[in-house]
Amino acid sequence: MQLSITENENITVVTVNESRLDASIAPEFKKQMEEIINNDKDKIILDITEIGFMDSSSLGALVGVLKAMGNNGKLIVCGASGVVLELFKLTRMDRIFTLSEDMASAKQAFIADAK
Amino acid sequence: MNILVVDDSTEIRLIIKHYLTKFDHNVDLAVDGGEAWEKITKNEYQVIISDWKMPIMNGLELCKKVRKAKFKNYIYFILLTGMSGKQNILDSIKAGVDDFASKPIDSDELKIRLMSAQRVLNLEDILEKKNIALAKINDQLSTDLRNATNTQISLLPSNLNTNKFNTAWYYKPAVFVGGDTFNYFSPSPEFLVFYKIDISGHGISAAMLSMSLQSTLGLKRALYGGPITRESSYDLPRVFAENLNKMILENTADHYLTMIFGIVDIKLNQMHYVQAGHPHPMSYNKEKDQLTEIDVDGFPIGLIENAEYETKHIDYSPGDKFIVYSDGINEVDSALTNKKLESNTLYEHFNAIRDLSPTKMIDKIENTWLIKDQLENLPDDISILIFEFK
Repeated sequence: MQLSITENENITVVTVNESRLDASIAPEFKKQMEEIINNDKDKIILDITEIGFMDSSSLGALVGVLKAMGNNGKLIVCGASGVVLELFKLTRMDRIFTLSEDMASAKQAFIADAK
Repeated sequence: MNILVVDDSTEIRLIIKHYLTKFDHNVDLAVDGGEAWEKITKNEYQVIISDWKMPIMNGLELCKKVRKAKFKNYIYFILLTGMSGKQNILDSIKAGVDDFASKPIDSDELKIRLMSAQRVLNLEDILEKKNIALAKINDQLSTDLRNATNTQISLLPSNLNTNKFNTAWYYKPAVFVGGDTFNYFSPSPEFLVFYKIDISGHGISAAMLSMSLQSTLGLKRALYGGPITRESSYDLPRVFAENLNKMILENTADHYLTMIFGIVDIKLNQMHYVQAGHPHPMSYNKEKDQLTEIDVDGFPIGLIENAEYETKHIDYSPGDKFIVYSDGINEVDSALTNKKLESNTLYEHFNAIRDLSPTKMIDKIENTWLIKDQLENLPDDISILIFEFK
């Protein structure tokens, strides 16, 4: 399970360096994300551009992450495309998560929020 | 330990035998590789101490032969050598030699080398015992899981073949037992209720929840919000989904599920259903000879508090079909096109067999789409359920 984390202007960018997010890594993904949230990171961009496949367990893990974040901050999921985006739509998770097409618009969303 | 000493020199054989007997080992002797091999096949030795250069079969050839034979206990091989040089040592290790002892034979060196042999043999012995125990447990678990799969499959409903419906299904769990399930039943002669469920994750815990839901959902009348009437049936799927969402969120921490739940009004030729994150169903219109993927979405069950659902309606005519399937099929490659059975590829596959009866469709899916090797190692459960209305 590979996550890389960078921080810039109070925005934490978490990039998932995996081509598949499935049951084999979903629990570890959730655990690492919860640690990031517990470190008082309240503006998180989750970059899933590299993920070409997500299964139901990982969708559950993502919702778990969103619930852990609660009202204490904002999470933007960026770079969902193809079957991953289809899964978000099929399960209406596109209405639960804030989705951004790319990194630039995700950052823009935080800047717009601040104003 | 039982030790075989192989050397063409009588003097060396007797010296080694003398030392080994003093260290309380049982000793056999052989004059060359040929005689040694005869003894090895008849007796059980833990250690062979062999000279390198001998007539008939030399020490290296003997060692290779021992390694190739794969005896059930490990035999520790010590090569006696006056030869040195890197290549000789490398050749010996490659042949399977464990250790070397130099000539002339020194009592202390021999004692220490045998201690080292004993240490390795003890480890081999422990490993062997653990492997046997693990293999036994693995066999038990596999048998248990196979029996569980059979139980699970036996609880799935039989194909319907009435004057109102034909149904057929395909079911293959990922790891013996699956998190997918489905059921259908008639609560009264005018209605057929069906549900198809995919519990998130797979394996035993998903299977247990799946089996519990499979057998109880039909009975939990509270989920239906009251008796099933023509009036209530119209929005029953939404009510059912919202109630089940509450129930799962209250009771189950680790799993959620995707579902299509429907009720067919046999008199009015209407179907009401709710889509809760399950893959898009497909409907076949017999009159137009047209298969349509229904672009309908919905929240999974047990993921979001107070999620709202909506009932969809389909009017059907005799010969029309309704196909529901879980997302497990999306992860396997088609034997026909070598492409993943997802999105358009999956639609095209169903479209090519759209006019067949449900049983024949399932037969085509099972025998022409799916690759046997893939089915032995599925990443997720595959389940497909097809209704044909009469």
